[in-house]
Amino acid sequence: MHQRTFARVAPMRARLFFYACMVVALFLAWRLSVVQGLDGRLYAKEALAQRSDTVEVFARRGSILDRNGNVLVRSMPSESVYAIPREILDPDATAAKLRTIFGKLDPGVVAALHDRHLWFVWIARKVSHDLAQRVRALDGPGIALKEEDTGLRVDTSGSLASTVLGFVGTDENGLDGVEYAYDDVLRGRSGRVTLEADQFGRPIPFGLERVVTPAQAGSTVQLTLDPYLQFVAEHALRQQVRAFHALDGTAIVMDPWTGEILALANLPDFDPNRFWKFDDDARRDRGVMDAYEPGSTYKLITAAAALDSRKVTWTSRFPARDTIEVGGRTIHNAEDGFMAGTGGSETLEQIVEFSHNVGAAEVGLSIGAKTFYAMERKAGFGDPSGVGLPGENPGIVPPPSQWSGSSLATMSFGQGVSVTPLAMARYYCAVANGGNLMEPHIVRAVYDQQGKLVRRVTPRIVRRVFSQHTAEELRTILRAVVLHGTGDPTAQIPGYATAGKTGTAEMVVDGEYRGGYYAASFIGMVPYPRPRYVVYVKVERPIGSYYGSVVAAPAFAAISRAAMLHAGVLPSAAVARNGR
Amino acid sequence: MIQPQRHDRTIRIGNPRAVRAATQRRKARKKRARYVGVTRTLAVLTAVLALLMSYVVLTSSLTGLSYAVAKAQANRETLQEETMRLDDRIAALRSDDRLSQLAARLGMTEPARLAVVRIAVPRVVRAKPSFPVLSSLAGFFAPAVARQQ
Repeated sequence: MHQRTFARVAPMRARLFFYACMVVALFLAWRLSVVQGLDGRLYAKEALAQRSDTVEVFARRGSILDRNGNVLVRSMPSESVYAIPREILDPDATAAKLRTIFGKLDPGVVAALHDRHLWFVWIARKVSHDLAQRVRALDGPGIALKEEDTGLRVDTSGSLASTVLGFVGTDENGLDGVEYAYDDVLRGRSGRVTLEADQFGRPIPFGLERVVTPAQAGSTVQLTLDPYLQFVAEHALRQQVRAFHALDGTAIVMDPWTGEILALANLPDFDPNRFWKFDDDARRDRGVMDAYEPGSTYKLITAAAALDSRKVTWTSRFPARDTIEVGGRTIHNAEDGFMAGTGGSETLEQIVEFSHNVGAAEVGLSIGAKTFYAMERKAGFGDPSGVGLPGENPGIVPPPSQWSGSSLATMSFGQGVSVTPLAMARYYCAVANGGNLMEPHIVRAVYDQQGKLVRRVTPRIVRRVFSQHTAEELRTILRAVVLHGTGDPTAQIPGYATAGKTGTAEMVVDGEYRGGYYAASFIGMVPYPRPRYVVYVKVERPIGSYYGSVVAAPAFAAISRAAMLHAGVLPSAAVARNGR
Repeated sequence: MIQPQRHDRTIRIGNPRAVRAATQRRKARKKRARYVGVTRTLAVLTAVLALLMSYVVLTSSLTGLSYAVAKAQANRETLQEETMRLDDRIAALRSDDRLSQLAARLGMTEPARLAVVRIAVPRVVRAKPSFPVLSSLAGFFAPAVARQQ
């Protein structure tokens, strides 16, 4: 029945409908084959280009570690706060809220918040996580946070060793200190990645990802700094600088056997997390950058040249007097209670022990310019030490051809030359280790982001400065300084034998020696006779007293004592309470 | 015109019931045969649809999982950052500078004199058994509980 009905009423229309459908279907099939097959690759490529984006992947900056592997500086993901003034309903209330978070607001920012035509203004760049959370909690209109591509550098230890570590700029590029010197190692290399993104530009997880250039995270730099010794050095130095209302100070602790810098303290210092709030002077690494006239600590160069050249022996005697005229210039002994007197004679040991300028000048004159200058150069003065820190000052050690008639005499007690604290500490390391001039270094090792060792810095002997025998004699002299000379009793430590030399030098200000401007220093080693540490302390422009024995030696004693206890060296009953 | 066929022999229906049943079966077969094509087509379509649906379900499930993995990775990164922040906080709290300030606030000063107490390392004396073989056997014969203790 149905068949009959269908056959009767629908054949023509059904056929037409069927053919029409077939035509449409064929058309669709043809288009499908064109889109998917013939031009498929082209369309796929265009579609991918439409939904993919090539972005720069910033490499994370590497961390800086201390010698124990603790993090000193690291990079954290950062956010910046910005405002859309157009969307802010109540600019005054918003500014008040922001003030509760950031304290003081820049007047320019406050004015921008009131500008209804403005679309964008930065409130603060790279804020800490806590501040970002507080801003997020505000949830007010027109205030938002933007994730920064580069991280926020955080010095976990605050201002500890800040002048050595340095700081970075907004784009995480090293600007000073280790951050600058090892910028190429720490920074890594940013890469480029093409990835599929959704309509909001967010990367689609497990979507197509093509690495154009792989990003290489920065390496981790491990320093030789010991955080405890660094703290002790800074603490002891700060105490002396405050006590004598001094202008600045430097303290260095070195391992004489390896050349490792265990502590390098400079005052004034700064907070690297807010470096822009401090002036350039506070950011100087004085131990490396500032050359000064060393004064009496330089007498050990004279002594080394004299003993090593055998022109002066242990028993050689020089006339004892308190003034001498050389090249038209009168040289005096310091009026520090250790005058030489007249009529007698003194040995080289006594000259250094009581820090007699006249005696040192006599020794210098007796050995001659050539021997003296050769020792200066062998000791590394006048050359960069190779420590690898930025702005290292090689010092000024003029050759004999540039000397005046009194130069040799004055240089013999540390006037007329300029050296850095690090160069002096390095020289005393050579005295401590038996005569080898070590290359000082602040970096111990470099690791990649996976913690794999990339480079380990090994101790390097630059050259032999003098014989072991001479070194032993010099140590004996230094011990005598602490036992009976200018270092008695301020450089003595109960239970530990120390050796060292005081230095009190007039400072050159604007090209001339100025009264009242002194650099008080002490360089020593502990424990005697086989030193483990060389400790350098210098305090500039102290007020009240200016002798190295009064201003610098107490800091040396404090640092040395802490270093000994830190190293687990127990006080010896053989060394009496007064360090003798 | 089709000539009616002539049957030379008369048809005898032995069992009318059986014939009727056969006719019914034939009719049913015919009726079923009319829908065989449709049924087969539907079956094929259903199978294809099922495959397509399972592909879609699996794909969506995979996408969901990949989003979950991405979320977990983001969480992990957040936690790592939080751990780093806590590490920094610990470092700040344990810093020598802070401890020295606390100590100063509490009125603590560095000792001027140190007292070194040397403690002699106690010598371990092992009692020698009189009969080594017997003493080792004694352990073997000790009760289980005692051995455990």
